[in-house]
Amino acid sequence: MPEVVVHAKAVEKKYRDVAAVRGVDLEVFRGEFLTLLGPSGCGKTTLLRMIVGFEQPTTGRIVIDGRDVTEVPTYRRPIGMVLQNLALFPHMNVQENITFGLLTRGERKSAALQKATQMLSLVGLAGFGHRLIHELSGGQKQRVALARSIVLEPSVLLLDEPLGALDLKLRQQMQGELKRIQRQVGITFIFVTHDQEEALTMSDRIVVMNAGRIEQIGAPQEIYDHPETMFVASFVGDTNVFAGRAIATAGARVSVELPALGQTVEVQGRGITPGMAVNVMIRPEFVALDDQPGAPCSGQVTDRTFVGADIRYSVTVGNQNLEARRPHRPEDRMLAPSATSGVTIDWANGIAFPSAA
Amino acid sequence: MRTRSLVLSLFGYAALVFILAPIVIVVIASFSPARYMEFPPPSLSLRWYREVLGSSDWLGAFGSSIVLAFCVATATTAACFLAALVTTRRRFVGKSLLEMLVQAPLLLPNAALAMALLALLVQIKGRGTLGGLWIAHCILVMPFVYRPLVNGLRQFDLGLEEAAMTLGSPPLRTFRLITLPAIKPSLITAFAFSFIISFDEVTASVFLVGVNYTTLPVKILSDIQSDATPAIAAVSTLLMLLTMTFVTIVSRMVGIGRVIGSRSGH
Repeated sequence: MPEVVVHAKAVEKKYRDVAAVRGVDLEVFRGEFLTLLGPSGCGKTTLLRMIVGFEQPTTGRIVIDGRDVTEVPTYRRPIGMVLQNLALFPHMNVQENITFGLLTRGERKSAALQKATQMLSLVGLAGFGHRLIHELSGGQKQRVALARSIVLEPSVLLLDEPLGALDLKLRQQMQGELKRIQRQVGITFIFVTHDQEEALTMSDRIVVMNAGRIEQIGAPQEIYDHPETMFVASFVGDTNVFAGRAIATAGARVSVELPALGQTVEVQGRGITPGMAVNVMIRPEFVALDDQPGAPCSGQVTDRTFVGADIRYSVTVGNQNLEARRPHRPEDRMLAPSATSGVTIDWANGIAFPSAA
Repeated sequence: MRTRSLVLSLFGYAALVFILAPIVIVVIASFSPARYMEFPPPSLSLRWYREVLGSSDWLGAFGSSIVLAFCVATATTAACFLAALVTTRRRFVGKSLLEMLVQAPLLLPNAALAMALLALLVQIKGRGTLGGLWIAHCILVMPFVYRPLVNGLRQFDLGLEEAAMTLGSPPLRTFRLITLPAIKPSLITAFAFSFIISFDEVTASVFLVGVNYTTLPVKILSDIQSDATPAIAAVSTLLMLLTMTFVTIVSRMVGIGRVIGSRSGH
């Protein structure tokens, strides 16, 4: 049983009458890289700020390292944080930024300087100690912000969308760096983002949040392959959705009638009773386009996007629009827009959810 | 094109001369040995400087003004800083009323305000005392100090304080090491402005000084009205020298752009 570092117990946060976080229970384990993922306004940042101590929960408790810190001010919590805009101290140089926390804690200057030097080489900024903050590039600032918190060896480090301001290339590079540093120092990371790709690539576990609630907690692959709610299915990864009606159920499998295709298909689904209105989701990679005869239905290509490794197609089948994706191989013939093609869907990977209405 | 730019630069120089000429004339006139102010002076002498610097009247007025300006600057900077801190960071009932009150003196003519203050000071027997003028000047100066401080605090990123707290820094240490250095320029500017405005103030002060207590600008004014000796020119020259030194020090500390910029409300 892994050790719990942060435990949010039945945490609620209301601003006047509006609930930003509703009844969240969350255990974060020692040493893991946990991501809070959700659209803006889903409550992930509010939850983060309650763990840090910038906000007080309306009800519920926050426990860190087995100690109830709900009433404890931020500066006495064993946490570190990298803020969205990084908030490096502009009137101090890199070294002074990094030693600030150590000196606050009462450490000797010589010891603090030595630790700062070690930290700088850990984040790949050896020799940058005397630089001023405004002389640093975006990526370098990220590293300083990280070093400034990590040097204090907090029980948990919280990161509030720190990569948001970087361009794509640098962002991907920093994602790798973050992951490497986290493994090296072994500190628990709670990372907040609205970018599902970032969440999938970096996390040990992902917490998907929506409208102040946790929708699902799981490893990235689990979240992607076995979403538990329609929201998770559509927020993480690309998805096609069909409206239909359940006809029969057998264990974890459901037969669903899809009026848009005029077919009855068998998909995965839990907690569904016959007769229920459902939505069936299927990922674009399970939609195959081919000219082979015998395809169960045919559709018309409306759009084609070449993204290098993949080709993405938009296809209209009946009156339903479908996204399909297939790996690109140079010898393959690409389908032209307005071409007619057979459409084969691997329904075994489809999942049915009760429709919200 | 060339003639146009020539005309333009001539105009520019002419404007400079126009602005600087009276100052230059005052400075030159102050070195006159004559009994009355005249320009150009018949010869050069330091007579009036000796006179001014040896007169307990002038030195007394100068001292009163300095002490008054210092007290006013300290009190208004402190009070307005606290007010600005509250109004920029908290929402509370009566916030806009407070902001309006602080800035209300701007709307009233100084003479009208002085009349009201006179009535008040006579009531509390504060006419012609340091305390009385201090109250009056604080009220007059407050709006000029409040604005730059609000602007300075608005520009301050509260994230810096949050970051410091996540690094284990308690509120007082955070204020001292993070907030204060960031808003120091605004504080210095506010202090310098309240000092200069109080030191210069004459409209309201004329009503409120007494027989035994006067400020330098008021004394200059009354001397001009009674006998216009070159002593006034000498005092003016000394004051200019003092102001220039003062402004140079402040601008070295915070940058001249900031000093000028914040007065015009940026």
